[in-house]
Amino acid sequence: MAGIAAGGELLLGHGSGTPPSAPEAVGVTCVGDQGLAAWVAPQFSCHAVRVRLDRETGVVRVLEVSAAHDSGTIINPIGATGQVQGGVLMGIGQALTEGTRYRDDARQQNAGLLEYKLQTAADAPQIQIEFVEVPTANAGPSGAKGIAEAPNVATPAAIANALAKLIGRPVRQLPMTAERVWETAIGADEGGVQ
Amino acid sequence: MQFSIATTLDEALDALATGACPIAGGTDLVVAARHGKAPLPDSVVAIDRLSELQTISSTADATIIGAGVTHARLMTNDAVTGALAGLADASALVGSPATRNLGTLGGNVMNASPAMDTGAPLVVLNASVTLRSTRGERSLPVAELWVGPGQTATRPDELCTVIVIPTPRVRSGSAYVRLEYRRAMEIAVVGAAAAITLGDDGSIEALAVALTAVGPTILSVELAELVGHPMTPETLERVATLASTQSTPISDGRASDRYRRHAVGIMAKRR
Repeated sequence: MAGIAAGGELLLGHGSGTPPSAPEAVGVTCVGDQGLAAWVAPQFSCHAVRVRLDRETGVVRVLEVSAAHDSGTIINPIGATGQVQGGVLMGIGQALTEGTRYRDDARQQNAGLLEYKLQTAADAPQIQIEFVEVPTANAGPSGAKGIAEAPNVATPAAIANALAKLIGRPVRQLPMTAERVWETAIGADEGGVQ
Repeated sequence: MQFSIATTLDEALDALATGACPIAGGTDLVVAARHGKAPLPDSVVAIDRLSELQTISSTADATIIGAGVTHARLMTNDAVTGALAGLADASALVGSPATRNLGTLGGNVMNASPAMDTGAPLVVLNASVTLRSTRGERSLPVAELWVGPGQTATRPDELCTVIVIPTPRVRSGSAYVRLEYRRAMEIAVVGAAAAITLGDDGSIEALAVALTAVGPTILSVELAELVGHPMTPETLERVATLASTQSTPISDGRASDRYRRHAVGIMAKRR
């Protein structure tokens, strides 16, 4: 399949199945049948980013993120918007600065928030959010679908693509730290440098 | 643990003479203790209420900054943002707003971290510290104060009371830039401060560059060969090369030595 995709051919597939069984309706909790229906219904999302790359140092700033999400009917717009904003910020951290490092004795080297670098409010880009509410059969209550992790899945990929376009080749490892971006840009990443 | 609050400078000096460790903002001492790096000292004396350590004054010859002046004040003080821009730049980058409101210049200087942001500007601005103890007072240039990571050439009973920065000559300017991975709560990966004085004809009359986090202490770059030259793109490239080659960085969780050596040159030439 990877071979076909690498050749530029579009991969399309179809399938269906019986939804897994769930406990009898237990109101609105996540584990009830209604929550499970919202999870199982397919969600789609698409993120586009604008980044600024300091070519001399590899430092990347994300300036703008546009996030479109099909999570079905949005029941709580404030909650859903917050979820996407938070997910985008976590996605940027995943892309650029967040990574656990371990010592030889398997203890985490950066177990504190001073060294495990989350994005801060000062790093937050402009985030534009669009909810594309597609009616979906067998979705959750009122046609709602999940939105939990989806907002931090697409952001790192969009940032990686933006950087690949800027420096001509992809950075092969997350997080795409300034040093890794710089090494990729100067072609040192294939010479065995960590 | 013994804890006292000094209400006069003499009380603070007496406490130091009996082995107490001074605490002002506590942004190094307390954080290090909480992270398990170093336990709190057995005896601590608070010096944050000493008004004589809180002033910034200027004479024709110098700006005198009390050791208890916070980074937040330095980054907004007219005397500092005007003639000592490099120090204002660095103060504005320290930690977070909370750190800057609590942390003091004296604390930053005496903590002697090679990654301290205010160190490089103080070196290029020829700053010195005044050290007081019950035995007397002496002055020491900052470049001679730091002798290793976290180590100063002071005795335990000496308190840094003021930082003295000579007034720069006409046609002088200074700046500090650092490499950071995020825009708040950051520690310098590398950094560089520069102070320059131009002659009548626009050539370099004096140039000093100092580097952050690429050696056991803040490093001064030897640049004598550039005096008398015009400040051209080629000169800046030479500054970058000299900074990179004279740096002695280590590899740690934040960056490799190779990357630091490269990046410090970029910081040194950056406008």
